[in-house]
Amino acid sequence: MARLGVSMLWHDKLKLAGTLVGVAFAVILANFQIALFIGLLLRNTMFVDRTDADVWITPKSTQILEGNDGTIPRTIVDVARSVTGVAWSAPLLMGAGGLKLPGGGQKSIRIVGTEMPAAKGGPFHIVAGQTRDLALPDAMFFEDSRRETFGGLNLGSIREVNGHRVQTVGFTSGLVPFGPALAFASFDTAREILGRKKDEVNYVMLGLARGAVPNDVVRRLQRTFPDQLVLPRSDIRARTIFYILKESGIGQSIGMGVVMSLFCGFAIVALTMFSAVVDHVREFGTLKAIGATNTDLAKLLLAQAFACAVLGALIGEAFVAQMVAGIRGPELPLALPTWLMGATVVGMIVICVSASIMALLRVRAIEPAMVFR
Amino acid sequence: MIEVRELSKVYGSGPLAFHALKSVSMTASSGEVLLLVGPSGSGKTTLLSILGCVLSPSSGSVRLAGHELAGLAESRLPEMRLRYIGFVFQAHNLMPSLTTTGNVCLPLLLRGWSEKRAKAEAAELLSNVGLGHKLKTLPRDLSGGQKQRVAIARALAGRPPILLCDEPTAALDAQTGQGVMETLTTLAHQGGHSVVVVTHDNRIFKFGDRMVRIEDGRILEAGEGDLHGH
Repeated sequence: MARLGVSMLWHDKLKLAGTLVGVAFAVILANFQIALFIGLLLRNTMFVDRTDADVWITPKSTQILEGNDGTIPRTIVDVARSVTGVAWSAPLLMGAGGLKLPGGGQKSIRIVGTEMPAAKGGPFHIVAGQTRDLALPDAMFFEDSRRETFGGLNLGSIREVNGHRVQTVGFTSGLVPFGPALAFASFDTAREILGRKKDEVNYVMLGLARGAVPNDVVRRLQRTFPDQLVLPRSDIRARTIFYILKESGIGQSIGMGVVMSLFCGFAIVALTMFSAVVDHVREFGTLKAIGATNTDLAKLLLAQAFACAVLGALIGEAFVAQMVAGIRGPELPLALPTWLMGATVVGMIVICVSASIMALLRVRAIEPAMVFR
Repeated sequence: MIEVRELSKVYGSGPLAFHALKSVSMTASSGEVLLLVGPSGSGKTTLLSILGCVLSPSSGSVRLAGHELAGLAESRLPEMRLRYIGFVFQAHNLMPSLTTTGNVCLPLLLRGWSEKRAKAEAAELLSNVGLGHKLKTLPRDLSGGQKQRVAIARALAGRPPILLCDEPTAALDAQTGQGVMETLTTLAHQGGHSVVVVTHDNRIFKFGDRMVRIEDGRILEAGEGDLHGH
């Protein structure tokens, strides 16, 4: 019956094309939005993902690494290094900055201060310059995609940040989380720009020794620093994601978009399959008359739904993959992981099979006696 | 092979009830071509539908190949149709998306036959009706008579003992219709099938072994109108 279902599908090519377009369209819409969503989340967890730090020590109220939750004592850096299981520790400064434009006005940046020469938590995705140049006086790295926005920045450009003169020594690409773009400076330069005291840092990053059990080290650190939060990388990541979903509302808006897209696909498949049954009611009646049960006909419809789902999903995914590759950029973060493509096929199968229920109900109502009329 | 006793069929109820069949009794034997003749609205199609297990009787007894239909659960009817009855419809009702072989294979696949075995049987059946050279042809590329012969081959798939034919020659010209009836007659006389043909077409009366007239839901015995004099 499955083969009959597929051959009936293929026989009515126009209707099949309409169904496939509907499924593909739903896949494209949904996947594009999910890709945007994942891209935005990755963009915001990128900093945590790319630093070497296995564990972070932060102020108690920290939800996301922005530098807005106060500071912690710098002494934590040395004390943490002495805790069993810790291989290295490094301080990090972070805070809001205002870059003055040559023509007047100001643009916001998020300043990250990293201790040289190790530069833990320093710039990455570097497209110009070298990290070691941050050791130069008043040196900063800026975001490449913001060059024009920041008044036409180039290597060597001089700007004023928070009233301090800084020199551009490098550019990073794609470091644009929600909020201002990241800009990197040495620890001392950042401290001056942000106005931090010498014994204050925003965060302490820790690397674990080989063989250390992360949970054990975190517990030891938390006991050692009861007034701070000690968080493994995964926790910081999760907090970041949760914060973005909660505060920005992108989860709801993109989620609604995805749901509507999938609903469109559902509706198109349901209506197309239903109308196909109506168009072929005599054939279904004949099948019943010659002995096909409702179960047999359900298998026929399921085979059709499955075929439409898989074909339509593959077409849609091919299209969206090309689209994402073509338009992805620092200003438009799009991420299309492989698991999403697999999940899309499975999701469309579920949707199309569900959509076939209307057609199945219609088939059940067909009386085999109608073929005698 | 077919025994009908005091069969009645009522549509609706109360003052709007319509008695399509009124205490009908008849038989059809193996190896026989029985013609069921009557004007429109006489109950022929209702009787055929009940014999074909697509309608349930309101009262009376219907035995097909030794199986009593009255009181049979709805869920068993498809199985009865599949195993004991082959249908030849007026409009042949072939699946347009399947080849002749695919169409003939349908009842066999529904019975659980493997595709290989079904195809071999289908090829033989199509050869028997003179279409051995059209195994991969789609219905749209067949003539009316050829389509009806494919329908006959499909009806014979699985070798059901009973063939029910609803106006099999109505859409065909005289010569083609004759060819179809010759095939059905051969199936009955040589194959031992019980063939019941509902028809208006007096051109094919000569092919029947017996005729049963039905009017207003009642059977008139053959003799009140004979096969040749109508």
